[in-house]
Amino acid sequence: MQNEVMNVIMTAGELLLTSGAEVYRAEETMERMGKSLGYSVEAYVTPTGIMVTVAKDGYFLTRIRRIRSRNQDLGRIAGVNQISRELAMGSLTLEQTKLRLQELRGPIYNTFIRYFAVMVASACLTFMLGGRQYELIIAAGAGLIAYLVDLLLSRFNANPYLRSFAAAFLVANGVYTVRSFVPNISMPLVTVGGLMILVPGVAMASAVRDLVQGELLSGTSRVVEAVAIAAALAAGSAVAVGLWRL
Amino acid sequence: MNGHDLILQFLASAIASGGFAVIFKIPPPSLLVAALTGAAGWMAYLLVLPNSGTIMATFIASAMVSFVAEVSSRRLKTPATTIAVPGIIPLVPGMRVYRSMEYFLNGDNLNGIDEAAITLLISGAIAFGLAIVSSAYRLRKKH
Repeated sequence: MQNEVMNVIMTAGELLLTSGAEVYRAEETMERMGKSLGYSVEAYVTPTGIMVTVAKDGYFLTRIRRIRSRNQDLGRIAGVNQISRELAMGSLTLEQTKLRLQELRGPIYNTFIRYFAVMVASACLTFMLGGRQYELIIAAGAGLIAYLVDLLLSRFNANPYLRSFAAAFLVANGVYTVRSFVPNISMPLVTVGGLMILVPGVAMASAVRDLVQGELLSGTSRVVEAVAIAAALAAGSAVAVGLWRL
Repeated sequence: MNGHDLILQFLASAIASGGFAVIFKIPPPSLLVAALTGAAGWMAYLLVLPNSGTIMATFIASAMVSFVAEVSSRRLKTPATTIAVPGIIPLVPGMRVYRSMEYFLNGDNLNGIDEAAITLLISGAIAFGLAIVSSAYRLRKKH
């Protein structure tokens, strides 16, 4: 029984952390879920691993889980939050909780909706920066390329820095190629609009919220992660721009 | 900026934030709220910008986004991050990073550092806007 509870709590914590949630949220959720199930739980979470002890009647069970990859999936964070809330109200059993957590692993939006969102968002950002007409269409294409490269490389377990670098490199090259046919488009507007979808927004927001909570370790390491990804994006486009000037 | 432009900017920022909400896989009930939050932040930015400069405008806008996110997340019973993250996307200084990179590539290090420093300040303004409002929302009496 204690093992079952441990499994459920660990799954919830892992889902939160791999989706980019704050460390304090992962700790609080795990402790609250344990309490709702009648166990006292102590969790210590860092962005790269979870340590948790589940205790009842003097019996302690401790487990460590390493976390090696982090994505941006706010839907899962909201989902785990909802499950933990329902568990605390007593409307879920242990088995139901397990099933609900499993269901969260599936995607919310299908591929076409996501591609469409990427294209529209890239075009709108380019418009807000001052782009017009053709630039918007090209930015939509650039955004789609960036997203597809990122998705493809993550299938091969590439780290986020390589993914961002490759996406930026290919997008900048693509925009340069298009510009040789449509000369009067603004290179920066289109490239930036297309690459914005790779901005590590979730990591940055989680870092700030963790710092506010006094989670210095997670806050600083996530800031470094976000800055490194931004640097990879800049470096990727810099290499492409440099090559085209040769 | 006239009224017509302002409406277009409102729509563009709402759609951009909504698009990012889908990319970050936010469930449908919060989608519209996230889009409107982004638009509210961007409007705050555009209205403050002419009088007090980019950094101040970004701070106000980010605080605005965080405020709307904190208020609406309690209604929707969802973590505030899910609404705040797509909302701050229009404020991210992507263009300045690009320009800074271009300066460095041209060997114009001085302008490159200048642009990079402003980028850093803007990112700081986004972070502080988020941090201050969300910690103010956490204030409670000590028991």
